[in-house]
Amino acid sequence: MGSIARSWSQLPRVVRIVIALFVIVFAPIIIKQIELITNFGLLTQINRALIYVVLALGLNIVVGFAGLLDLGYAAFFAIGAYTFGLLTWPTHEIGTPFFIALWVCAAVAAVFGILIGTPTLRLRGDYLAIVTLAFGEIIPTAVRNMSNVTIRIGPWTLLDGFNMTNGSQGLVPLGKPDFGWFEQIFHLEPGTLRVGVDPTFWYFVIVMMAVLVLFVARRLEDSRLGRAWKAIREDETAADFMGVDPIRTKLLAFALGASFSGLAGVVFASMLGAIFPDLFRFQVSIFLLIIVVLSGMGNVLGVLIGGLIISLFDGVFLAQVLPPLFPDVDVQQLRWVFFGIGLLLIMVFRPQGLFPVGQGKRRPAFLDIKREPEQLSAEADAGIKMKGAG
Amino acid sequence: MSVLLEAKGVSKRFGGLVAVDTFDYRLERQSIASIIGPNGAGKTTFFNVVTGFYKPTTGTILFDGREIGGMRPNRLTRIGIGRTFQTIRLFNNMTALENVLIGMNHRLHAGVFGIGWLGAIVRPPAVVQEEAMAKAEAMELLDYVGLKGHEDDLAKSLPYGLQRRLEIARALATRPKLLLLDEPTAGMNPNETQAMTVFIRRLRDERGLTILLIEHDMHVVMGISEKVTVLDYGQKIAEGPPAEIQRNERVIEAYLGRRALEVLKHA
Repeated sequence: MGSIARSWSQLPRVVRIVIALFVIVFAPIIIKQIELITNFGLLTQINRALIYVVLALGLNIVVGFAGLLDLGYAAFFAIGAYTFGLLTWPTHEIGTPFFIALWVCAAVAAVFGILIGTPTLRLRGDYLAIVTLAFGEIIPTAVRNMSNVTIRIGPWTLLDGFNMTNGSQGLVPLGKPDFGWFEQIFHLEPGTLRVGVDPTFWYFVIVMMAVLVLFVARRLEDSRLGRAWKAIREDETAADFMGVDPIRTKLLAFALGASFSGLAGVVFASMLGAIFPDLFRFQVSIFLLIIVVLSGMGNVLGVLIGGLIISLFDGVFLAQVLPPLFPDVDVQQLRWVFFGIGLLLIMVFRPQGLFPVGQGKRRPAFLDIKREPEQLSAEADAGIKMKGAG
Repeated sequence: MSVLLEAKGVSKRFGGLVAVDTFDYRLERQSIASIIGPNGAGKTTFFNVVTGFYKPTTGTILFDGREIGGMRPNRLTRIGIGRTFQTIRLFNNMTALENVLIGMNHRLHAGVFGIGWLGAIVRPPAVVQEEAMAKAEAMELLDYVGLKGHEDDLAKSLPYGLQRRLEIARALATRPKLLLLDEPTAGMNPNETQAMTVFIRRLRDERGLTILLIEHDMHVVMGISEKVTVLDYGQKIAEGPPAEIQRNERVIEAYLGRRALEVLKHA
């Protein structure tokens, strides 16, 4: 694996981009051929996997870069999806165009990231994990109960019995991206693009989003901000003494991570055409965390590859390949057993993840100098040091 | 010479324990001074009060004529107080270069570009140029402290002595006026200690820094300090030039005990 990665990174940048484009464009054609034989709905699964990759890249900023253990990340996914629902559900009669709603929802998710982060980011490690866990539970529950919202401030009634989320029945249908102008310009027959129905169409929308998010994540990683996040992860107190404002820096990680999942939420909601509170349960947060930890925390390309592998393992192998082979076993019930075993194996044999962050000249871990107990640590470090042993 | 740092009646209590007790202190610009004292005398606590990690329970601290009691550490770093730690606290999984760049972090994108963190994504020419300049300056600092060629090494993979130097480079990157060194020669052999002593003097002479040391090695303390302050149980028991402190009876008593003093007298 390492040698492939090395020879890949030695290729000139232009060549790499051309190869990547080639793969992206021709993948659906090949996948269609595979689908003819296997009947797995493979492209839909790849779309789903790519959405998980975008989410995992967002979570990677929070957990991988800044070292903040967030167990309620799915909440921001839900906020993105439901904001989109609010803006495009026909009953609400707002009908915001997809490409405007996309950015609005990302911004709303980011604002929620700041709102949640401001009071909680003073906490470290386990305590932050507990609070975010609760937040991840609160959002779906709130969504389930917001089918009859009344807001009164003094004599003014802002909302009276407003059905914001339609409770557990969910929001159906939702807005689709509009490419009508594209068909008009090129004098295509209306409906040629099969907008919002064909998985190939969604594939390209999602790939565009994934490329954008990948680009942003890479740029952030290699910037003043990325360095500040890593410093906070390594030693928050020392970073504070070196002039890095911990609260501000952590808030930015939260907000940016949340905006990624806001984007993913919109595309997810629009692709499914329907959203329910149950789609954003705790398991989603855990699944994303598993992707980030298994792939190698902090490694953007690792999360991309790991996210694809793990999501496809889940969506294709566990959901579609195994059940016919073992008709007597409920494989879906065993899903978390597989992930649990996977996590255990990784923790024992490769704690830095499948694709560890590779930088600098490394020496074997046993040559590291043992550190004395730290003078400041009693007050400063209740935090989990989220780093590999390597 | 004017005063850079002035503490007036500073105390720090932890519950019933008085770690620093109504401590008065004045530090002249561009001087090298040391604070010594037995373990638990309150030296590091005083450092932590000056750098904003603790809020003083009572008293005021003036830095550069400005009241700083209660300011957060990152604010104090920005106005010119740099420090190293008793036990090395580098960012282990970052390279030496990145460690130094963190020290400059607060100076980058200093509102000049007006686009804040978006600059990190869009990377306008101004940001590219700024990054290049920061890297060049960081390389210079690494060279200055003797870490040339180690810039891409992870901090944790550096040998101990170089880690100490990297900590100093990182503190220098914050462009301090006052540099607080908490036991800079701890764990070093005599040769390394000697080199560090020379280096500390160079920091003052070449960079015009004011340096405050906590140190246990008396060769270092007596060799480079212009003023030595002795703390015991949080209280100042002596202050003066090194030669005077060496003969001070209360200091000998604090370090070696009353009986030792008597033995010394009879000897």
